[in-house]
Amino acid sequence: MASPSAFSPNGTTATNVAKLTQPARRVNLSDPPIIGWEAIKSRLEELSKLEAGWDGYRGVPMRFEIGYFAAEIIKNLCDLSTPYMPQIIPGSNGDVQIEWHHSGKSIELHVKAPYDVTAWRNNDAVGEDGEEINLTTDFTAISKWLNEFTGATPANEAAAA
Amino acid sequence: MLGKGSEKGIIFSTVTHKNPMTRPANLPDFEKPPLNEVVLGVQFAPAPGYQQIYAGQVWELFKKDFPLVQEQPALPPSFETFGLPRPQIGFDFIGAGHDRFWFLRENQHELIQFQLDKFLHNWRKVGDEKNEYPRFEHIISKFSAELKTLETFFQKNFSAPPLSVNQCEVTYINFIYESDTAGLDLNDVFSFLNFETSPDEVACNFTRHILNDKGEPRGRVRCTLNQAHSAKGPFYRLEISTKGAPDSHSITDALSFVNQGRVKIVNLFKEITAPPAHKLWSIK
Repeated sequence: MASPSAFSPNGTTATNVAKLTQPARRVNLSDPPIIGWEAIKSRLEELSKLEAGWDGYRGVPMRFEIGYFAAEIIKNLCDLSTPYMPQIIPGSNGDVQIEWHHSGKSIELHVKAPYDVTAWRNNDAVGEDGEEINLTTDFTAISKWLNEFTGATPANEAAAA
Repeated sequence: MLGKGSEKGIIFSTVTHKNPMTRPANLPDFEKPPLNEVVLGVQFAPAPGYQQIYAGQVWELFKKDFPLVQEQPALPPSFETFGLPRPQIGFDFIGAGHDRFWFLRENQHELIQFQLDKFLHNWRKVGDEKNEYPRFEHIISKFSAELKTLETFFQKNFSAPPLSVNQCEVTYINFIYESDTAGLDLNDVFSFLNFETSPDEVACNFTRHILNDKGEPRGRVRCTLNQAHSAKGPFYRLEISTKGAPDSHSITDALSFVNQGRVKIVNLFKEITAPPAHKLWSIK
């Protein structure tokens, strides 16, 4: 019989109180580790464990749902073999910024909540003040930004030199 | 902008029916649908201050109707997002810090699933699978009341803000037993199949985007068909689900998403199954 969905418990039985049958705290990657991804995971774990007041003021740890939404964005946006894995910067409200910086160009995504993201970039075309857009579910625009951003890979730059 | 699939996306707002408690008049209706399980669920921002040690108090809210309990591993948060296609990888960077609890009715036909950031209500066939489907309106009516009870609990005990829903889902799982469709070939059951010789093994899936009235993607309809086997014999397992972000974080909009998702699922079920099978399931 095919495995039912995780949230589909049919076929099981209950006693009055059943014991937890397997540890729930951490789940390993289901796919082979990819260089860069382990670092992203470690960073997100680190930010989720920040102590209250970590910034010297009233900073709180990264909010659980924001961490997962940030991970979802990175998963969708990044070719995980890219040399430009992002930096992840905590905000004092439990929010995070996902940032790419290279050769004077930057892309920054401020994840304020799931489906509430402000994206900003600067480059030669848009100038120093940069360009800002608000995003909810569709991150295609950022995919394009990243493609333009990574167009100048070290290999390409070396070839052009 | 989306890929080609977006051109075939489903615009939710064309569904004018928004009251989840009454059945839309034009919705396909089967007297004996092959439904085995229905799941309605939401994912929400954890209530500040709430911890697993209070889960027993949550059970108390529902214990009268759901006196049995089971502990399960938590489900990871999930979000429907859209971008250029990339290889998908599975991950979990940290656990929820909270198990998932099933609160079950004595007869186990229905259960609530609760964890730090999710709340789901399941109806399912159990035992000899003869328990009757109570219909969507019954289930969403219960689900709606339960969500409001949970919201009030968080507000009263943790001074939490209103429940902030960030993801909704509806899933219909159908078991189409070969013994129930004897005399029909595969093409008579599934309208999208057209075999001269039936295959020995079947497995397929597809998705459609769900768009809001601005044409922006808000979620996906997923359909999966495969073969399985139970004590009753071999069957086709047809799972159709809708999952995505509600228009706002409110319970009202979450229920609206769930309701409209159900409409999409039922219409898709009729679309991908064939008239001879419809007759078998007593379409009205």
